[in-house]
Amino acid sequence: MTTYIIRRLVMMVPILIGISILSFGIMYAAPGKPTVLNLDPSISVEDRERQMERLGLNDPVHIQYLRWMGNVLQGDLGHSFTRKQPVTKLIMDRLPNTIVLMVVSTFLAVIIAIPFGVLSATRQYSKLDYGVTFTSFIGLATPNFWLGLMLIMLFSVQLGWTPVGGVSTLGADFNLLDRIHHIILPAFVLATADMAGLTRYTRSSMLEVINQDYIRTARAKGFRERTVVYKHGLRNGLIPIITIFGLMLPTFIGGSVVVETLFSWPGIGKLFIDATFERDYPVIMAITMFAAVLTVLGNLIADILYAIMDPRIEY
Amino acid sequence: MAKPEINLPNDINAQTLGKRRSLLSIIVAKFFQNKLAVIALVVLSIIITSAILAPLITPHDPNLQNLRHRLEPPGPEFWLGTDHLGRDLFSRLLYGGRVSLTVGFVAMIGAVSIGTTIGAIAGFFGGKVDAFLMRLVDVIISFPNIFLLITLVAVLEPSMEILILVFALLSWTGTSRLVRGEFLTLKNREFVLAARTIGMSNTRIIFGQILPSAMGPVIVAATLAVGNFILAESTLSFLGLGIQPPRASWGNMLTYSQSVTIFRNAVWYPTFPGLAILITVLCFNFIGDGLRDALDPRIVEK
Amino acid sequence: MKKLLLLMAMVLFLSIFAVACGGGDDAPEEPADESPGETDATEEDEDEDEEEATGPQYGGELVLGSMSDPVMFNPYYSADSASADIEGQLFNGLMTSNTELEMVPDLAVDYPEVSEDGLVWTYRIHEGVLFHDGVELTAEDVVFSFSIPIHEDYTGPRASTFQYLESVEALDDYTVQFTLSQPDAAWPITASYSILPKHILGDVPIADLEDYNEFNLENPIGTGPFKFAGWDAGVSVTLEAHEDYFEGRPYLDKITWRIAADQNALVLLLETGDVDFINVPSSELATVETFDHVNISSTLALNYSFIGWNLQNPLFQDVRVRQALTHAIDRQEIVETILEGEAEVAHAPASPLSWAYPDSVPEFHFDPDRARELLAEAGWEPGSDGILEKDGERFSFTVLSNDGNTTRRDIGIIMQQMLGDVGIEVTPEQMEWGAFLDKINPPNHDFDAIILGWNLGLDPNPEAIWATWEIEQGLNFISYSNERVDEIAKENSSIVDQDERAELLAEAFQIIAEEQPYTFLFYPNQHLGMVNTLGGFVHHPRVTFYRVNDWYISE
Repeated sequence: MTTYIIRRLVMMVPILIGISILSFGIMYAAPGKPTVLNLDPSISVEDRERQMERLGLNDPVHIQYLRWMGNVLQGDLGHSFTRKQPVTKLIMDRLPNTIVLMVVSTFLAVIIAIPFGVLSATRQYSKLDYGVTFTSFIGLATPNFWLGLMLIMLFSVQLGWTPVGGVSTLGADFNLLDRIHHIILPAFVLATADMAGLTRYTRSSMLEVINQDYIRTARAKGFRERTVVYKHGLRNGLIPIITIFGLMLPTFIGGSVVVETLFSWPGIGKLFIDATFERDYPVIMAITMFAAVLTVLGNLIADILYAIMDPRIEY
Repeated sequence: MAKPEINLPNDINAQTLGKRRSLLSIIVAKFFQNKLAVIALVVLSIIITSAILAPLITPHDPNLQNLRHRLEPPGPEFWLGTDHLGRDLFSRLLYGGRVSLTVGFVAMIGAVSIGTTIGAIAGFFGGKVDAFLMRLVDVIISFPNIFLLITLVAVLEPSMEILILVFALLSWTGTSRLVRGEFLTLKNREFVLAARTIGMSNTRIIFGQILPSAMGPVIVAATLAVGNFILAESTLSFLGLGIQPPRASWGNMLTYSQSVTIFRNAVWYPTFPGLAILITVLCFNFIGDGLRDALDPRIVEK
Repeated sequence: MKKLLLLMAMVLFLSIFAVACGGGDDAPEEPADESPGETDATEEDEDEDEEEATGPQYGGELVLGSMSDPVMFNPYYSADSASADIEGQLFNGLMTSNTELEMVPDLAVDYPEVSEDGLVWTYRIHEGVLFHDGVELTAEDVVFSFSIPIHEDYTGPRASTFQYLESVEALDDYTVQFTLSQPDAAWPITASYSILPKHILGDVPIADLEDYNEFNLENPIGTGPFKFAGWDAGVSVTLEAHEDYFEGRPYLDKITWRIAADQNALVLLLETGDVDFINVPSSELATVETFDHVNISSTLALNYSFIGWNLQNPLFQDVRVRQALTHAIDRQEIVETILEGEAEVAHAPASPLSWAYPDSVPEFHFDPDRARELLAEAGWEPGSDGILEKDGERFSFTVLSNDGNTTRRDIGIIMQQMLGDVGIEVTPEQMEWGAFLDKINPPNHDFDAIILGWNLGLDPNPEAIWATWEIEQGLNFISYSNERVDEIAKENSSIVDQDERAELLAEAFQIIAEEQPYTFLFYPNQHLGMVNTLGGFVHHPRVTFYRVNDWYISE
């Protein structure tokens, strides 16, 4: 097992290098220079040229890449072109917000999806099953931003139950209730797609278990249905579900771009899309690589969990 | 007696044909037991047909602006109302459907073709070829998709063709893993060995023998993919990177209606394209789900 | 994301300023919006006013809506509007502009003394002006500040703004003298750059100043009415009243910029009362008007929108064709529909707010028949598919605008239809801002037509946009060239007499209006929505947060 994990970790290196070369290449092939250079046309051509030189943008791409890589290996992600701050600080300022949002929406997805998935499976073909199935399909089919704006209009404006956006009440001291109040809507919107997927997954996983021989045996032995389902079935049915958390990780990062924009949530998704439009290369690279590492790790965790759960898998 | 000798081959033929038909008919029968899937199939057929026939059905030119009739509510003149430039929403919805469905279908065909080919090659040949191709899949899968999409689309200037290309190039990995898996299990089965023994070429074995048996899960994944591409186009539109105006797509129609004032004063405008996406994606998902059940021999419907 | 872009892309910043002091301008009076306190807004003697119960009162805070994080708080290095808004509260300059767009004294006691040859400018500054840390501002601080952009190690983007400043010296503690290398009509505006504290930054090498984050990001110190209190990245920037402000303590205790992701969020935040003050786009005006607790102040903004024709493209080289294009576009209709009537049709490259706005210019009103005639004169005849043709070439082109700007996107689409009616095929295209600029700027000039806007500076000098030598520099990306306009561009900035200069400028504007290198679209209104308890607000056409020290909240 340990050697497997080590081998996988070692394999991450070429994957990440591949990703970094690809994204660097794509980014530099992009038309348009970093906006900081042409935001203000009154900045003269000479001033602009001086800035290009200063940012090292006149060097050949491969030199720039190697320089970037060299700095990254020394733990230096560089300086944002547009924001005049170290990229590390920009990311660290916003990362906690994104992580909190991801954690809460995962939590929401789990506490809503798993019970409904289980219920749906145990009462297969009941009205409840159809209801849950239908709702989760709708969740999968709704454009996130549309749902988000509708919910804001309904809950924040019409009913006044939730704030329009932001992380917390402006200027107030830290207050858990206030935080929850602010996060509930964005977390829900971010969770919808995964919630729906997870419900479907739980349902089929449970169905598979319920039809297994040992459950039948348990039933045949005369255990009460509830004991059968929740004691024997649930434990085994949930095992494969745990593995998909690893796979959910990257989808959350992706979804955060839209949700953070809708809810004025100051996280790295928002930072990324701003940086893309501003051609703020160091920020784009840093966040892409960050997300890539998360994705690779997520896949790895999923595989490891899967391996632990399923003794049939060999290495 | 000569009769049986003559009839024998016919009988065998009849039997195999009958058997095939019955397998297919089992699948069809199972699919039609799933009411949601059947309804979805009907609704989707209507949507696709009306998108194809858009020029015949639509009462107005989808791009004709009527600035004096902006944001008109649904009525006899404009069935679903008008948008912020006074264009007929119903007509735009049908023409937008053409674009959105094209993006979904063509990107799906692209992704499935690439994924199937690469998965088949990797699974069939195994060894170094497999190792190399699967590392490639690892890299692409590890790419944070939406980030790459945003960067790529921004770089390449969004158009329908570019969107399709980018979607196809980024989404084939799942299919290739599926196909590879099927190939790994199928390639040592008797019928493949038999084909090999009679000297069939690799290409024929791959495409003629194994692939048809491996297509089940691929078809399911492909169906779901179409819906996902339609959704992805709308998300990119929201981020300013979808299909460009004046060409309508459901995604950009929905995006242009995302204004507080329009939500209040012309709620039909965001509603219709939103519903179009919702219903269409829903249909693809239901059909995909129905196909999955129908193609899965383990599942026996009541 | 793209909403930020929209903010940046709204208008290209044109900060070529020049002198506008001396009165005699006929800028329209700002309509008084509500407040009784407004009348004393421009006076500067209210430090010891005893206010009546209905008048201004101290206390309270205000939350201002913003769509992007500032970059930094050092005006010699920042180039974005979010930073500029905040810097305006933190710092003072020697001079500042008033609502009539004239330069008036700020830290300076009075207008400067100018030498006969216009090269030596002497400013006397107020005594007892305190920085936020309690240290008094002296002439040394002024000398220090203006030495930054002319220093050889200066890394910021403003070197060319200060190119004619040769030296600056303190004559005594409260008198500063600037010596220019040649007469510079823009100097009085350049002289309004912020004064930074020498006692804090004096020891920092100029080469390191751009990255000196202890000041630029974490603790900027100025003399402005508000002092820096905190910046929560992506969330808000908070300023507090500067108790010892030299014009008297501001009424408000605290102002906070709340950063929201997009226009929708700002409108909703204003509705729910989480934000007190936002910039309202015309498209959302109808909604904001329904808010009972909000007042809207509207005024003509100091900018204009246009369609620029690339004169390197043979299609647009015939003046009759360009006039025909303008005739074929119903700008009044665009103003009344897309802009909800909140704009004026434009005919010239100057703002009606400016003293240099000419009395009359050639106008090309909507007249498709005239357009067809002119096109026929120019040799364009309808081809088999109805599209005009000449020498086998079809009249077909692409009009480019920047993504995220919905007004320009819609104008492109409307153009397609309007020009289609006279037989011209137009393909509207939107492009992401970075790629857009790359395409239109030199050396590429790779476009047919663009839709864009100019945010005008205080000075109407046409040089930067219209002079031939600017084709290589960037702003004249349509490659306009006219000998007489070039002459005027050279001469006008050295003419001190405003009437004489206006006459000369009018000639240039008339030539440009006649030649229609742009189809001038409109002058848009700017709308600000604010809570109706806000008093003391004055709408400045260029500065949204103008004299915030006079704002107050009445119960």
